Amino acid sequence: MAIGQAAPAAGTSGTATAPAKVNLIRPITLRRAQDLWFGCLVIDPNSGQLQIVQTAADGGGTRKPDPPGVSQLLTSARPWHNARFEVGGQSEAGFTVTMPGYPIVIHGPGLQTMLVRLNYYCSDTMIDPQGSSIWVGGKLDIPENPRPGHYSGDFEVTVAYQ
Amino acid sequence: MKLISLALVAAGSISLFAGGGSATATAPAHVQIISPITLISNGIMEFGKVVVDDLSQPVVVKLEPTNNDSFIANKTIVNGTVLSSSQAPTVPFFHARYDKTVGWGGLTITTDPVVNLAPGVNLVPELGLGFVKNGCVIFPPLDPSQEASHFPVGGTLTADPDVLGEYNGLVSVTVAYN
Repeated sequence: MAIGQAAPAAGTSGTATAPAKVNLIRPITLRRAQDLWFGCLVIDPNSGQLQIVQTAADGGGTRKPDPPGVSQLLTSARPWHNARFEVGGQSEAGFTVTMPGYPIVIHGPGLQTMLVRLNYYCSDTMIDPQGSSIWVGGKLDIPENPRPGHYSGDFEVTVAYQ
Repeated sequence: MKLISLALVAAGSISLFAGGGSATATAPAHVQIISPITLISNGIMEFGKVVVDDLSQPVVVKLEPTNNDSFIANKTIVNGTVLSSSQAPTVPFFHARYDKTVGWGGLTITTDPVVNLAPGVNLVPELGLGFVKNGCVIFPPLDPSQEASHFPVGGTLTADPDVLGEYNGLVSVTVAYN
């Protein structure tokens, strides 16, 4: 800490100076680059409950049905992929990631729903000058005899400077 | 600007976050559940009774579908004659129920290359994919996510020389998502 000095002049008043500093940094930004897509699944009607575990990882990840062998991913359809978010802001600034700690609900035809438990992967704890990515995978719980159709639901990811 | 001035007076060190200290983005998680394929058949591949003309030569009988809604087939014979009391030649139909989002174009249909009915008696099935009918009604009311189509299957039967008798077999057809 700098110590201010009194001016020697009059004696009836004193003046001192102190340093002032400010550090203005860029706002942190988060942009969705890709959805979380579990793919097109043909479910064996006799399979009972099923989970699709899609592990988030840097640019890849893994995907497997549990129990194995009771679902088929159509090769003609778009391949599955994890969600990806791009983090921007002040280079080298530390940041934290917050995800829903509870399963999110995705809605399908009629009143059918499924649950997704999310997981994420981010190799950076500080914002990379080239940009940092957050990958989001999940575990999809498929009920017995799900009704065919498209199921979708939103989830939020929040980043904050530390 | 006011916030900055206050910071200078206080002579402190501060990083200004204001509303920019955090950011939130939303993404959908989604999946497409596809109806399983159901395939059923009706009708039979009826070659009928054929009198062999020359026992020293093979007999070849070919059944071809005639349209997309009839079992009646065209029959051509090499080295044989149809017996007048013979059953009319017919071909079976296969009915597939599948997911509408995938569509007929997203299916692959295959059959056994050769069905061996007995030693020296072989059948080569031929998918009648030129006679596909979309909107097959043999199934119960379809789920809105489904549609159905059917098609006949013909074939060519070849019997080696001097092979006589009644023979039966099964023609297997598989419909799968690509």
